[in-house]
Amino acid sequence: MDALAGIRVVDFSNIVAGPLCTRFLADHGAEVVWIENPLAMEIRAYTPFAGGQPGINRSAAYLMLGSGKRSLVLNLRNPKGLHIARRLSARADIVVEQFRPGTMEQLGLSYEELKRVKPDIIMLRISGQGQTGPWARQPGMGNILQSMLGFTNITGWPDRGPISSVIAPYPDYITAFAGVLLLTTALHYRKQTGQGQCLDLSIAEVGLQSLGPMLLDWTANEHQQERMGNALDRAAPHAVYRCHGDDRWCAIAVFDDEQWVALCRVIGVPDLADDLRFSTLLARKRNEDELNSIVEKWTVGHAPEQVMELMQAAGVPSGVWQDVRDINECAAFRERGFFQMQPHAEVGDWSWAAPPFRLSKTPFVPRPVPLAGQDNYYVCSELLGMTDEEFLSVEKEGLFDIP
Amino acid sequence: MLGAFRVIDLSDENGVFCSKLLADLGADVIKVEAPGGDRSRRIGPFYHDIAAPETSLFWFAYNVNKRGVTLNIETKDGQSILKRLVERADCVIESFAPGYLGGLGLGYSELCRINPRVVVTSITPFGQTGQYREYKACDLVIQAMSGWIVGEPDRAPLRWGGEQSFALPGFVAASGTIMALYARQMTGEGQHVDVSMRESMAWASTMPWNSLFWEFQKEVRRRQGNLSSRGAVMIQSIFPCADGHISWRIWPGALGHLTRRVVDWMETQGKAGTLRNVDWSHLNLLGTNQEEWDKYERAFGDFFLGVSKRAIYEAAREWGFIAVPVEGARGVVENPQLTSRGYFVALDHPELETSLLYPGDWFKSTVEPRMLRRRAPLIGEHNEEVYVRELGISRTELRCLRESGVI
Repeated sequence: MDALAGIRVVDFSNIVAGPLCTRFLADHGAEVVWIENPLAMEIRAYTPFAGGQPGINRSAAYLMLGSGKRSLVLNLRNPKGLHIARRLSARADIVVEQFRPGTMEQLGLSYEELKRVKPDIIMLRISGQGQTGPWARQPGMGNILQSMLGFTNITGWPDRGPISSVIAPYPDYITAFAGVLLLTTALHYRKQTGQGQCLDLSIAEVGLQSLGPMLLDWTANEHQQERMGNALDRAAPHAVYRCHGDDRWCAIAVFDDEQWVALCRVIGVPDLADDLRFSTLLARKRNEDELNSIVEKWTVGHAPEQVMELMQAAGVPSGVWQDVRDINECAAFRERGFFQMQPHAEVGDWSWAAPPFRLSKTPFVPRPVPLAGQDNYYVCSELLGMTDEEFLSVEKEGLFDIP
Repeated sequence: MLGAFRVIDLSDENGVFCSKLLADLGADVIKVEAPGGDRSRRIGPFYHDIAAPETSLFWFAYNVNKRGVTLNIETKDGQSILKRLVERADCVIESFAPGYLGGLGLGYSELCRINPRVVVTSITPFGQTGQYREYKACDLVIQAMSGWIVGEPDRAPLRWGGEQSFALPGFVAASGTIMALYARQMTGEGQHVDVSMRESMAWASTMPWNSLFWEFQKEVRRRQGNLSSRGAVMIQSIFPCADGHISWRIWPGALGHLTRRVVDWMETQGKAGTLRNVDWSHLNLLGTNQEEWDKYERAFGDFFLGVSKRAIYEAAREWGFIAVPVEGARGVVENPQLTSRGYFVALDHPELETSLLYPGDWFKSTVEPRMLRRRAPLIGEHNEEVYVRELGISRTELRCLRESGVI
């Protein structure tokens, strides 16, 4: 049974936060019509491509985000295209957009306009810094924006500069899940009250929620946190150690005396546990550099998997620092069904990733990724009641054309 | 919006953020701590560096809007009281090791017998099932096993700052919880929501996309500091400026107009130089070599060295390009956009005889009132309210429970 059966979502968004949010809704049975602007199909152009072969249906980014959706390729610059979008929105429970604030108004698709045709519409408007305020109209991007929020400043080595998460736009992922939270809440609220709403979700504002302690350190203590590499105030050892192999690493963390004694046994120096340089946590913090080099002298002789297994067997928190190959081939992920092979009409079988929350009675269901424009006809005829003649005439006007 | 919901939060640092979000949305969240206080109160930083149970800023931040009671669920009385709380609750959030609650007769199957409508959300490092379910973890280990690609090539991989494993999975868990509550309207029943912190962080490190680099192209993406590679070119994304750093990058091709706008701004200060002659929109990365690219980055970099973070942030707004200062907490709190949105809000702390500035509403809505209602609870602050007034336990019994260590 699908948690969101019968819910229809129209998704105008393009990259990461918005489309990921709606993807998780599709995983749970919502019908999500993803409107793809033929002039802005970057998401279909990101590497890697299946088989290393470029193609609009072969991008990993699209596969990740398009799962379970209906693809409607629609030129919104054309008034007829806009009209279709408007009619579609009137039949939706939820509209999601992530344009630069002001754009939906320009398109005549503001919340007020949508509400006029569907009074209980739920609209989720995602933007970098909010729908209002002096910076509302500045284009934004999660992996740039995160540096404004404080993440980058506290990431890095004490003797070097700030390091950003260049590959992963972290706040976009927070925003995607916050979007699911807000939309399910809004659906519940609508069920209770009959009311829809317009939600203004700023990637910056929601992202900052996950830095609460750092922010309070400033507002309460006028203290700015510094970069500390992989160290942690309340643990030692607590670092990432080089292991045997090329660029292979394992994280090890010791939070109490018991774990410390266990670690010393594992690395073959049980007497080290009582060494006054390291026998207490305070001592280990004072001599942390020396401690780390002792541990690393041992880890470099072992594969990271072995380090993790030996440490975990002894009750010490430890984990291989997995690279993309480890992740893709991880038996534990496959066992959990977090990655599962799914068929795709063009690329064949590929590893679909499950939502990270599992509902026991209304679980997610993997659904196919659509080919570009696959559902143009379905949307027009089934959802909008167009006759075949009407459909052919708009098709002739180039509304669905992909350049 | 969730005003009718009652949430019982049994979790530690792995779960408190989840129920904070539910509390922000209006749910009545009761944080249940072991007598003496939850272990997450040990996590700093601390108010005025006072390392004590009632001054943890981690606790303050992630337990706003909740009421607080103490309860020792390893005692028979504690288990009995918890069952009474669950009877009247809509959800339970917990982050114990898989099987722990079951061992106390408080697992999902028992709780749903008591209250078939209850949603139980379990948040653990590796989930309720699987070969790693008993592994010990912390934020560092979870980041390691979710494939974070952050750091510089000549040193160890780096953890992303701020112990994010305690935060992002909270958003995941909260969204799964409300989805389950929504489904309950259809089914009449609750269910068990299983959240893996590792899987949550694997999404955040973009592994569903990035792991396909291996699957599709047998390519392993590696940490490259603040550089990202496109074709044969490495692109810088952090530049020093007059008073710190900014995050900005050169965009060629489809987004080349963004680069053009920076050059236009530089032109107004007579600093555009040869950059004005580059056709950014038609610059093809495949046809550019690193030497040429580095020349461009040096030219922009030299310009940024003479400009402040604030000036760049304002120019980005005025000219419509993407650039932000690399900020620490102070810069964030003083950010003019956040200020204009009223983001930071003062919350009263009568026990400290002061009020503190908190990050506030994390979204705006046409229906939602302001989110910050009360500061995080003191240890056992609402024992009387919940146990005596709501559960009807007598004062004599409450005293007995206190003296015997149940509360």
